[in-house]
Amino acid sequence: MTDEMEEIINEFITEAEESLERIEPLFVELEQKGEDKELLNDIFRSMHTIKGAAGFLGFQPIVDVAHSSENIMKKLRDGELAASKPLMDVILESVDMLRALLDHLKEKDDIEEDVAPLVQKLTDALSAATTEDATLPSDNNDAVSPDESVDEVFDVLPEPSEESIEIVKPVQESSAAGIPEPAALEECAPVQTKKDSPPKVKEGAQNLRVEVSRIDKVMDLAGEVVLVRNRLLNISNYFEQQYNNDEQAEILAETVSFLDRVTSDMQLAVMRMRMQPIKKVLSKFPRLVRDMSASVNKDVDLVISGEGTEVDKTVIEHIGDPLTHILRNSIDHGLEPTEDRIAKGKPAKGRVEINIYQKGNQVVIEILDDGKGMDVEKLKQKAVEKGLITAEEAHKMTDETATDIIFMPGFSTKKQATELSGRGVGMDVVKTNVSLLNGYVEVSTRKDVGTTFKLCIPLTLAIIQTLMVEVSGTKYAIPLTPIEETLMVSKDDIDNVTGQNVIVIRDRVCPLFELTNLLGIDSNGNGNGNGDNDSEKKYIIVISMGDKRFCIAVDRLVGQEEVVIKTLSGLDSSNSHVLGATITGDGKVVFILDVSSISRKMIGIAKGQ
Amino acid sequence: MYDLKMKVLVVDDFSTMRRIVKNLLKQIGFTNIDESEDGEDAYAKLKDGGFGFVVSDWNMPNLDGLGLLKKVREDAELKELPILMVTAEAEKEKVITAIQAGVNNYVVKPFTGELLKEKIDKIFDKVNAGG
Repeated sequence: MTDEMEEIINEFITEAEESLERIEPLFVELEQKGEDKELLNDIFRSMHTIKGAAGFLGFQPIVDVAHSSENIMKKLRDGELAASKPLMDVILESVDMLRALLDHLKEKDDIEEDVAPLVQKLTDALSAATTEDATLPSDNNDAVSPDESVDEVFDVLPEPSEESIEIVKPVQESSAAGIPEPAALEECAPVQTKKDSPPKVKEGAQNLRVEVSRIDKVMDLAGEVVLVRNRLLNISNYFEQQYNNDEQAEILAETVSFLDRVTSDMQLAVMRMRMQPIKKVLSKFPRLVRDMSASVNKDVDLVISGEGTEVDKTVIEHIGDPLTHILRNSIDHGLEPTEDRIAKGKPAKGRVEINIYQKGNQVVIEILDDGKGMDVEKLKQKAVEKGLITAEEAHKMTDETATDIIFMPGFSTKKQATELSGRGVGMDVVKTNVSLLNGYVEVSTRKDVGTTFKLCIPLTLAIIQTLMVEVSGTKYAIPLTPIEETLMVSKDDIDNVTGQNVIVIRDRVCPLFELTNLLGIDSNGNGNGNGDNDSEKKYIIVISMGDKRFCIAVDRLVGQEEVVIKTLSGLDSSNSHVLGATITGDGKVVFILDVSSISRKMIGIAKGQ
Repeated sequence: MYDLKMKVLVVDDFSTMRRIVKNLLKQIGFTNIDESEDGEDAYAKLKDGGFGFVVSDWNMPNLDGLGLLKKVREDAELKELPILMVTAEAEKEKVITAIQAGVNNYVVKPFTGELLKEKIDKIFDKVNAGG
């Protein structure tokens, strides 16, 4: 029973959080649309429901806060109060408080929030608003307000206790007792929701809530199955070649190829279980923009598209902070003050767009603003001043690479980071978080036109397509996503420009690195004496990370393989350039390379080392 | 008395609440419990038949508890179906409306398994006496 209780509590926390997430954007909508019964009722209902369930579970502070704000919402919904900013503000405050209370439940930290001041505030706000409204002359004072009419009914009807139920029939039959007919009663109590309201998309219909840990377990097992499948494929290939007329070998091959298909389907199905609409993360943004635009005094239009795009749960968990940070930055630093915009002939109202879409195996999140754009020269200058790069490096930088300066740890363009976008963390957090998700960030900016941040994140994190390569007799797996193409070039094709090897691919110059150098392994010493290293031909992998392109030279291309990432604890990916490890079809452990960290080291600005 | 094997429908838009109510019903001894997330869904399920009893929340999207109650009472096949309405303490006034619409009993949140049982006992005592 205690387990059951724990599960119920967890379910409550999740569901209540979802409710709050869902209603938060409604407040902003409410401010834009004015009084909207549907919206008001929606918010009321959520508060009401949270209160009800919390009551069962004995979470009194939640009950208190939800109850007080529900009281206000009820009056708003019933049209007894007019929605006003002060009222909305205190209700939003209670949403925040409910969140905090839920967090404490989740963390089991036993921290008690003092909700009394907020409850008092809510009560005060209600009574203030009520008296304000009461002073308004009311034309239809004759019309009895719903509450009063019901009170009258109470006078006639005995208190609706158990007993009242028993006597319902007789009372109902004698309508002479002064009880309005049902229809009449309904008329004077216009509380009910409209029956013919447009049917909403049913959310959560036919859903089963499953603990994430259970799904992860299935995911893990699916991963193991993938590994076994890969091994079986290898074995079956071997048998097919070895005994190519043997019936059993053929049957084995057939069976394994069936297993192959089923495994792929299963993998996909499990992956889908972990996917959620990114809306979950975005729902807090309208409010964030509302609060921010008020405090920096800029009028901002936030346009979101593609919020139904589904991404892995881990992405949902880690993308919130980077997105928030970029959004704050766009509003705080990106958009000009209204006067400046008008002076430039731009619309007075700034515009920030968030577009999310799926592109191949990736989810792309774009954050666009129509602000002033970044001043590249200024960025370089600041970076030099702060000792993040040398003047020479700054000089060599193209405009594209210069925008990456903002991601360098310890960089912030404003002398004093404002309270809003500052928060003691820089844009480097954005890059770090996105890299954690095996993704990358691109920035493009144009003066007076605006800045676009583009976050590209793989759909799933656990299973990836890789290219197996070999250097010095050791195999490595390189994630397929950033690989643009593979080439075989002859030594003559490699040029050297100021100490950097480059090759020209279709008229574009591309820097070339040896994988052995990148990984710090001796290229000739410990090779198994293939001696191919110095041959005339080289295998080249062309990597494209955002707008950067570079080539990695390897000894041999082994082939494409789907691998399951097993994270290696205690490994610093940015130094070792290793993302994790996997077990390949032939049962060997192979390192998976972290291309984004390689790219940062090679192409990114050398961080003063 | 009533048959604990009868099919009971729990209607609430908040799944935690459905689970809590289901648990309480299980404590009482009910074994055959189905759930719906709003009145519309509930009505469709009830129409499919086989239900002996309904516990419904009041505030729900699409079709609320009162709407469901009215629809059931207007339905020739379902009109005798016992319905227990779950309300919050602030909604006592609404109880009157529900009584008018023919609810069998109501219970105020939060409630215990004992109270729920008491209410169900009362409903079926009356239903059995009447029928």
